[in-house]
Amino acid sequence: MIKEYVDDSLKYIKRNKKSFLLILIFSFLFLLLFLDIIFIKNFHGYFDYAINKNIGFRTFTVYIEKTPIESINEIKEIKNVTEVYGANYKSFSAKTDLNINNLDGSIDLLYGTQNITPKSLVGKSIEEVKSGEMICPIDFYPDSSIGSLKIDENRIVKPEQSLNQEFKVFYLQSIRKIVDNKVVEEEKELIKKFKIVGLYDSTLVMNFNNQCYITPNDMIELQDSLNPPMDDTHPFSFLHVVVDKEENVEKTMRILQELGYMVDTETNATIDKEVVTTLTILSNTFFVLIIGAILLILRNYLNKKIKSEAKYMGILRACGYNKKQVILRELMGNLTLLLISIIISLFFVSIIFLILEKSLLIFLTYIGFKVTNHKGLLFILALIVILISIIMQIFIIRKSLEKTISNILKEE
Amino acid sequence: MNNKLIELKYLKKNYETINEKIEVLKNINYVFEKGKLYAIKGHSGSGKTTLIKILGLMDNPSSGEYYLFDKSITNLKDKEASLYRMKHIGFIFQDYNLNPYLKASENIIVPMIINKEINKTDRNKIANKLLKEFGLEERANHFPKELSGGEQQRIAIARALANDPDIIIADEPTGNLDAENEKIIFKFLKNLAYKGKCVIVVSHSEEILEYADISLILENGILTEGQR
Repeated sequence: MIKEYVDDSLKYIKRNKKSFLLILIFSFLFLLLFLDIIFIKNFHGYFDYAINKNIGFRTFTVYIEKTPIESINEIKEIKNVTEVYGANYKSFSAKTDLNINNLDGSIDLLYGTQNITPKSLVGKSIEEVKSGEMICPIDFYPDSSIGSLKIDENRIVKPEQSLNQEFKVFYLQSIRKIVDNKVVEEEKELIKKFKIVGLYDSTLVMNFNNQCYITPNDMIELQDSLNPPMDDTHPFSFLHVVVDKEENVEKTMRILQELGYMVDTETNATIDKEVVTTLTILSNTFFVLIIGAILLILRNYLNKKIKSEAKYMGILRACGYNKKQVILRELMGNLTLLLISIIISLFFVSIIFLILEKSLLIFLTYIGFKVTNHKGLLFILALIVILISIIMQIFIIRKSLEKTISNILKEE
Repeated sequence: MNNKLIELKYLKKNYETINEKIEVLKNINYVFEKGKLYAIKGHSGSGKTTLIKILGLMDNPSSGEYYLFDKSITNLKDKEASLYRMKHIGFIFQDYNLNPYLKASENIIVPMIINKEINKTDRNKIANKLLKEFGLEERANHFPKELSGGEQQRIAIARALANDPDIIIADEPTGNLDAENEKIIFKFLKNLAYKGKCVIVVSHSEEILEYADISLILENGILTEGQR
């Protein structure tokens, strides 16, 4: 019987131009609703992902007055602190003679220790790495364009090409000379040979595909070469403190402040909370407005349709349809229209999502974030709207059914 | 041979307002038989619509008994009443009330959808047979707006006959038709009575008296047989 009701509904939709318009409107509204949901979920998902993966969200800077050794030892004793190192040794941008796949050989060297370096997928792990060795991303892309995440997939250096690759890193040395009783600084280019001995998954820590880990001593050598410390016992005044989890950052900062350290309360990586809040409010408001619009249009449509069909419902009752059968017949008619709209909008969501994923948002995959269309959530949302519409319809039809017989019989 | 189809015993219907109790049908005792066309006449407010509603199981009497095939069906619940309507009663109204988005044959099929005894193939066969009977076989694929008033009413009658009911109740069936079409419709109804149906027609038209086997007058809630 339900099949017949659906068949009649499809005939109604096919033969009534207004139904087409309504399907168009509903499809558009559902499309907006679904895209908004996808945006909200991915937007928040991205921040959660970044906070969990990007070490910058749990790294902050402290100013030290004691000697670095004393401070590092003291800070390392604090619970939840996983690593402490001189702030100037965080990273080193280097030019190399790596000219694989027509890439310009720009790499970013990072301070590598067991506590802050991800496990290697291939080759040596950081604890096995010696001076002159480094661990690079498995999808290695040594090029200066990496900052804008414009990656040409065909030029990504494959593991068999990168592992055991030997190359030169060029760096500068600052030399102070006294000429005519004046201190003159000169720069001299030095070369250090490196070999890639391990490969890691850069997406695990949201690193760029040209960021390689070297030993702390190599990092100190490269950095101090250009900016030699003025004071050997106190070579630097700032430390980077890495905490195990983002939620422990504030607590650790407080402990350090209590110990007398000057703490920069902003972590190395931050999120503009104002922008996040504004976008969240906007997208949530949009969501509520669209839901409201869908339900309002649906209610008006149902009211009009059921009012115009009141006499016909009376005929159905006279033909022997019981109240439940009339409700079911009407319900199927309207649900068919709603379902067609939802299917059309889901189809367009898939197309739009595919375009976004393959073109505009592809860069996110290089930092390991997978944009998802949250299909399950969309189905649940569609189901909720359908359920609300069913309740609404039953209420409106029942109200109208009370009068159906009077509608067809001329009351005396 | 027992031709008794409907028997109304001491049937009453009252409507209560805040201030008064209106007795619309007063102690009606009547037997409607198969194969007869009954014409019910009465002034406005005489209780015709109320009587039709009760006869068509769309309302319950305040008191008294309604027997169909000698079985009391007074005060049935909606589901049972609907089932009886589907099997035994066909309605024809002044307004044809065809579904404008369904073709003529599809409109006739609508009552059969809920009849489990008729399968899909038979539905189409029955619809085509009825269309032929009413001289509308060539209009099967036409929408109501493409049909004349008389043709629409004939489709509405065919729809009322779809489940082969024993009783046909027609409320002012020719109210919207011209004299020529009125005659055609009354002839059809007469023919139905000839085929053994019990046809009850409420009409203001004097023309119906020419076709009716029994003329009934409903006056102040009292049903009496009048003169033909």
